[in-house]
Amino acid sequence: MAKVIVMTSGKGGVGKTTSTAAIGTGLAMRGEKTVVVDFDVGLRNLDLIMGCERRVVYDFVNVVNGEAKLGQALIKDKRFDNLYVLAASQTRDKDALSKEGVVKVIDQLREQFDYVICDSPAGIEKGAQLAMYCADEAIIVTNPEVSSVRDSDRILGLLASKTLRSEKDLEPVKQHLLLTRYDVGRVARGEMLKVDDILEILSIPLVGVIPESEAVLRASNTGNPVILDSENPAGKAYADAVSRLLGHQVEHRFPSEQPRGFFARLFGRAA
Amino acid sequence: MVLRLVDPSRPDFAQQIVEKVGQAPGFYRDAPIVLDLETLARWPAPPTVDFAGIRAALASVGLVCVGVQNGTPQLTEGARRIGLAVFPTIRPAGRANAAREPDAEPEPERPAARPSAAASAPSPQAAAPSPPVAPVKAAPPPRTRVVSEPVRSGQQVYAKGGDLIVLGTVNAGGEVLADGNVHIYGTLRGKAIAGAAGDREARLFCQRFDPELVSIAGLFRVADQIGPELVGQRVGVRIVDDALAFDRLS
Repeated sequence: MAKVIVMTSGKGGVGKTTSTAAIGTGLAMRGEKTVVVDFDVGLRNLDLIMGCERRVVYDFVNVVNGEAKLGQALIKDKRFDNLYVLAASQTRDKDALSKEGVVKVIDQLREQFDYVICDSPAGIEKGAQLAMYCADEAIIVTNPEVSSVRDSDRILGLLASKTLRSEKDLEPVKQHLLLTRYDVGRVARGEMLKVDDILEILSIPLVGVIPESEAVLRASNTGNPVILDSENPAGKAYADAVSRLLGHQVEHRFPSEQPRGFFARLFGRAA
Repeated sequence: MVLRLVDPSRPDFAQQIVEKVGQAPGFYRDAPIVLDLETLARWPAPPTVDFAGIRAALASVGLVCVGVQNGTPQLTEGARRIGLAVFPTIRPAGRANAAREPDAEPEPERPAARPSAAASAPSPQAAAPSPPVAPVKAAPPPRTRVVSEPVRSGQQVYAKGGDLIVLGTVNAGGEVLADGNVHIYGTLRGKAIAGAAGDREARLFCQRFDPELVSIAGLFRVADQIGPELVGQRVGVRIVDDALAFDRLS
């Protein structure tokens, strides 16, 4: 039974696309047949992070509009046979997608894949609502700062009311919190929110805490999802998050903000 | 809901009820009505009241006549005979928790209520300017709405006509409103409005107080106007002397 997971946040720049690439790749590494779908029509980025931007011929909008077959638009990853990318159109805007068209394409993807990861655009408007519409699960990508947390809260409200599951009165969309750009040093200095404070506000289960890392930007620039770097703390944290998504119990590596913890010392040296 | 009978013998009795209900048909639909006979009881010679006729007139506009109150034994006998309940004699006071003089209380939540000058006019002829009927005080069983999910940014929950109980938190950017009291068992970080329809006796309670705004019956304070010493505390809010009063709950 295929699972459709939306990566969403409300706020922009928190790491939705980076996390989509990492988690999509991570699921494929575990043997799950996975497709990552870019819903950010007009601001296409996922293909860059996935490193397949030079192979985009047809895109999601072409498929929704019936201008191309799904098989023509799916781009196979060079590293993993069971990983595909469905790119967004760069020349169109969010109005190019229709709800009926999106539902049809996602249903087709459900038949072929184990996991369909939808990379939502920022905001709460049509693009973001279409990205979450078909979702069975949602990963709420949040940075440890107040505006991101508030926007995530808003998105959680929409997930409860604007999805196919809510309209059909099915079991609600399962929600996971993914904290990204978590800087233990800044949390210890009180410049960022603590994990516990964020969990208290959002009250949804935590799927992972991704530490702030230079490797993330480097990975994005080279089109190699950071999860491929198994030595890097951010890569490891994404791998843990994938395990938890698959239902495994994995201890959180950075559960508390001990200033003298391993990661804080590491960061102290780097600073 | 209580309907005070001032002069049921007037020919336009039924018409007045139709007009009154017509002002807010949704509000009055299927409302249980208790006839208040206090005014009639003060007539020198209490009249014979056609309770069956009144019940039929009320039923014609969707109101359900359930009983009478404040009558003399002689007056209530007719009501009892057609199966209406006779409620114990009470003054038409406000809610059970009303601390004020009930008669000094304006009723902003009763848009259809008109001031009744009839109480001082025992003679039907002298009562010309006043309507023969005037709803006195609502006494419907308050409906309580319980919300078990967190109220998130951008969400609004309104308990119309009753109390609201929120089991979780109300997050910043979320709004909870009730015509009655508001109880929040989590943290209040958003806006909370009690007595939304104007009930100044309404109160607001929360386990952890850190609101954007609190309001009762139109009086409000924003976060900046609330002392930092209350933040994070268990707090109750009510109206005292035309101002919001904040009590720390132990």
